[in-house]
Amino acid sequence: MIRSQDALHAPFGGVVPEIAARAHLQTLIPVVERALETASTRWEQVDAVAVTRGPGLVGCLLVGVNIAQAIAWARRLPVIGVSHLAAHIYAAQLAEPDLKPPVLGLVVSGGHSDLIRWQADGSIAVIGRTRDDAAGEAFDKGARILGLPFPGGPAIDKLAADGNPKAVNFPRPRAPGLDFSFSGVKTALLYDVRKRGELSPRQRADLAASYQEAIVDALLQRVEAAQAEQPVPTIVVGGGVARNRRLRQAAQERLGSLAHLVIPAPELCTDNAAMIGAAALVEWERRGPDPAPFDADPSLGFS
Amino acid sequence: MRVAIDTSGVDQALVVLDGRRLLAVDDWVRRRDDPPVLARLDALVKRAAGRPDDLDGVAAARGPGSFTGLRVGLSLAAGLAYARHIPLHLIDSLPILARRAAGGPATFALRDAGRGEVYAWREGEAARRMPADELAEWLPTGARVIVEPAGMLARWSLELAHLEIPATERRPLSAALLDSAIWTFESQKPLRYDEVQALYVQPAAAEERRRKAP
Ligand SMILES: [Zn+2]
Repeated sequence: MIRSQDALHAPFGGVVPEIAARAHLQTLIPVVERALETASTRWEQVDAVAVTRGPGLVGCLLVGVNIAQAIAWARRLPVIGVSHLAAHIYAAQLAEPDLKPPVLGLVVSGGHSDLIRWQADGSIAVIGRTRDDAAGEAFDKGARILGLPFPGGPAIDKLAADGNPKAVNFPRPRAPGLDFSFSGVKTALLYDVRKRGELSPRQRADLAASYQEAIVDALLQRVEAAQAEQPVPTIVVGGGVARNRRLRQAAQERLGSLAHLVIPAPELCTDNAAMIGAAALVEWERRGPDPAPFDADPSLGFS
Repeated sequence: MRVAIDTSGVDQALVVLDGRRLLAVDDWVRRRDDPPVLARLDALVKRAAGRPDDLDGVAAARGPGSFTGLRVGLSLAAGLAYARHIPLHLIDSLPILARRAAGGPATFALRDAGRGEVYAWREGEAARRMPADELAEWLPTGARVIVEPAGMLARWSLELAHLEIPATERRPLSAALLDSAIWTFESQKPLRYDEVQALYVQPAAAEERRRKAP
């Protein structure tokens, strides 16, 4: 059961934290109720509750963490708080239940671009991160520059399908090591659009395709480099940006031969609660439920 | 067994009651490294010799007040009520604050809203938000005013300071919350779970900007 707030935030051109937290309070319990109904499940059949502890908007996390723990406490159920970021990797287990670390993972979303190693001992180490914008932010900002609606990722994906990805050779990021940087390509797009003035539909599609190509290439370059440094049998690509059709296709072409590649189905890449369930199963096996009430942690990492 | 929660201000409280009988209270001052409110509730219910299964009603203060505190209190209340299918009530925060005055509720209650603004309430009217420097016009001479944080009225206006009920004549928040909860449980209609909302006395800044935009 997914309740999206995109329509609520679209008039503002981005997510408004206060509106998000307000909507959470009103919709969360009805959504839980409908999910149980859809699954023909009664609370008496539920064994445990899992919830996102972080990272994210504090107002939204507070609502989730407190409602989940209140329900668990009142029903005497164990509860486990998990990382939303790690869940984007663990979501791969919904497609492949036998998936085991070591895994090289790329999490790309509106808030994150992280390259991680899910190690054999179950821990997750971040080996690369963005120096400026997240990949999803780069898509959103690019979309705004091209005059496309929010959320920008899907809009660029759609428009790019009719464009030539080689029309403009945008710069690739220059962050050191395995880190990412997208501010350069964003600025390049901005200057290009300003220089051209009025854009024809053809030009707009070409720019979208070229811009998307630069971001996708930058992401995959880093994954390839990490895999060359320390090869692992499995690579997972997750997060909202992993819905992008060009990224999925290019990842298959470039990473498919380097390792077993798992990209969860698009609906499991977008933020969803099934991946929180998957994360709970992985974490439960490792450390069991949380022994005492816990707070939301807006800056939580992968664990 | 019923529970009332007020985490909307600097002073916060939990009350466990049975009918009109008080079973246990917890009063604390909000701090950055507080334990989760649910941990306090768990301890309090144990102290009242109760169990989660005994819960048959829950009430929470709905503001105006702290963004974080309200989200914690309202979420806990909603979760408890939903999980046990018990009545859920929300109580306006400033009338609770007014009941902290010893010897009868104050007729005016003020809560610091930050940035030189005040959440202001007077008996018989809805809470509003106003600049602190408009208080002199709004407060009549002889008003009995309770203020959070205590002593704040002098900071807003020295001429008005004498209207504030002194700290020595204030009861703990839990005492006011208990009175408000009993009245609410006995006379008010419970809410649906999707009606849970903090009391906003002004829209989000982004909404405001959008409304003003041409
Ligand atoms: Zn996400």
